[in-house]
This record gives sequence, C-alpha cells and structure tokens, in this order.
Amino acid sequence: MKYIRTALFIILLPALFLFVDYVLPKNEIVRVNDTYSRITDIGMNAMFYAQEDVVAGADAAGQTRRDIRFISAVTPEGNVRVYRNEDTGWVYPPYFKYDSANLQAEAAALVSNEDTPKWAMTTSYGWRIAWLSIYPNAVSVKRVESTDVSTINVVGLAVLLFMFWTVQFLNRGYHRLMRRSVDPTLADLDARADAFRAGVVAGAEERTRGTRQWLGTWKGKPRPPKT
Amino acid sequence: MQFVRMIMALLVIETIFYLMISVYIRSLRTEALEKEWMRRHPERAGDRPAMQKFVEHSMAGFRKTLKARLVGIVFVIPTLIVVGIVIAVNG
Repeated sequence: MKYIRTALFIILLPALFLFVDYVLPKNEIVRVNDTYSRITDIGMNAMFYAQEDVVAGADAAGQTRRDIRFISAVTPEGNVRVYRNEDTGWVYPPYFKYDSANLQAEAAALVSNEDTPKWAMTTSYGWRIAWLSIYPNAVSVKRVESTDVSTINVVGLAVLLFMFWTVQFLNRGYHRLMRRSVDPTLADLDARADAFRAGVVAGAEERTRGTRQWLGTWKGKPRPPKT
Repeated sequence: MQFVRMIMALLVIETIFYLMISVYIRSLRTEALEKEWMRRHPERAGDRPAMQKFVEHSMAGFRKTLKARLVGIVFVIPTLIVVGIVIAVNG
C-alpha cells in the first residue's frame, strides 16, 4: 500500500506542479518591441491555443489556420519574449479574456526602442516551447516607470494558497472521517467477529454431541478389558 | 453555449464542496457536544447510548442554525470570483 501511495505521489506531484505553472499568471518587466499578426497553423499543439469555439475556422486535415496576434518584447537583460494575444474561452483557463484587440492596441502604444525604452509589466500565463510552437498568452500589458518594480503576482499566490488550503481541508476531513466513523465501525465489526468465533468454539461441543453419538455407535460395544 | 458548460461545471463542483463542508461542520458540532457530555458526566463515561441520545437531541435543529446556513456561501463565492476576474482582466 505504501508503494502505491509513493508511486502515485511521484507521478501526480510533478504533473500538478506543471499544471499549476502553466495556468497561474506571472509578471514580467519587458520593453515591447513589436506587435503583429500572423496566420498560424495549429496542429497537434492545439491544446496550447484557444479553443475552437472562440475562433472559427477548421479545415479537413484537422489543422486550423488562424490569425493570431503576437507581441514580441525584450527583457532588461536582453532576452526576448514572444507572447500571443488570444481571447480565452469561457471554460479554461479561467481568465475570461475577451479584449485581445484592446490589449494589442495597448501593446502597440508601448512600442519603444533600446535608447528610449518604455518599460511595461506583462501579465501572462503559459509556456514558450519553441519546438512545439506554443507561446504564453499575454493577459495585460501595463506601463511601469522603471525595471525595479516588484513582479510578485498576488493573484497567483492567492490561488496557490487556496489550493494548499483545499488539500489540507480534504486531508483533515479524511482523517476525521476515518477516526470518527470508519475506525469505530471496524472495531465494532472486529469485536463481533471475535465474539462469534468464541461462540462457535464454545458451543461446538454442545452442537456436535448428536453426531458424535451416532458415530460412536459404529465403534464396538464397550467390552471389559481382557485380563 | 460554452458559458452554460462552465456554469454547469461550477455548479457540480460547488455542490460537492457544499456537501463535504456541511458534513464536516456537523461532525465538528457533534464532537463538541460529545466532549460537553463527558465533561458533565465524568462518571458515566462509558454510557454510549445515553451520550448518543444527548447528542441527537442537541443536534435536532442544527440545519436551521446560522452556522449551517452559512455554508451556502459556497454557491455565491465562485460567481463573485468569476465576475471579479472578468472585470480585472478585461479592464
């Protein structure tokens, strides 16, 4: 039993971590470089793009070509960041984002070059994995005055805390259930089984008397010992 | 259509949580009552049927109390959160 639990943990915890890392928002300070739209083929990586109900268009081969807005940016250290800017659906992830056109305009207004940078704080979720061609989805782009602004995401932390609390609540509930309901019932069943067994053993002599008597009639008559 | 799906999924999850939290709150109150009975009757500690009767009588109107009803907040909070997210993200 312990091995099954360990195995489950080893499989589930990283999966949970990855899931949480994908869905929760992160803040980054960047300088917006360019905003553009590109018709993109979405094939196997459709899971990492917005669902079809939100944007129409699918062709026979199962591949979709969609017009997707991108925002490309540069971090203060010189790394590049590319975000996509798509509406999310009503179902998942629960960002309920519908203003991607507005966001594109806001990002375009913040385009600047290296000499006179306009720093912006982007909030985004998702991963940039180049070989899968997936991009994080930018949720908001806001102007900040310098690169020293804190990038701690309060909402993400709050969600994490809530998840911890839920797990703790479920754990406490489970132990409580075991302690108050299951264990006493099992102990009761155990006691009853023991009593039954004891009763069987004790009454065996009484109950088998008739049979033993009959079996005994097959033995020889009692004879006096030979002298 | 997707909106409806989300509402239904939320309702199912809310109901599950509501039931779980209700049971938990009830068991908290029951345990407190049991402790109270033990405190009042230290000499009758093993008398389970009497203790159960006491607990049953005390729990009779529990569903109508404020504490039990407050769990209904579980249905309201996700809607508030969704509205909050919509306003915050589409600002």
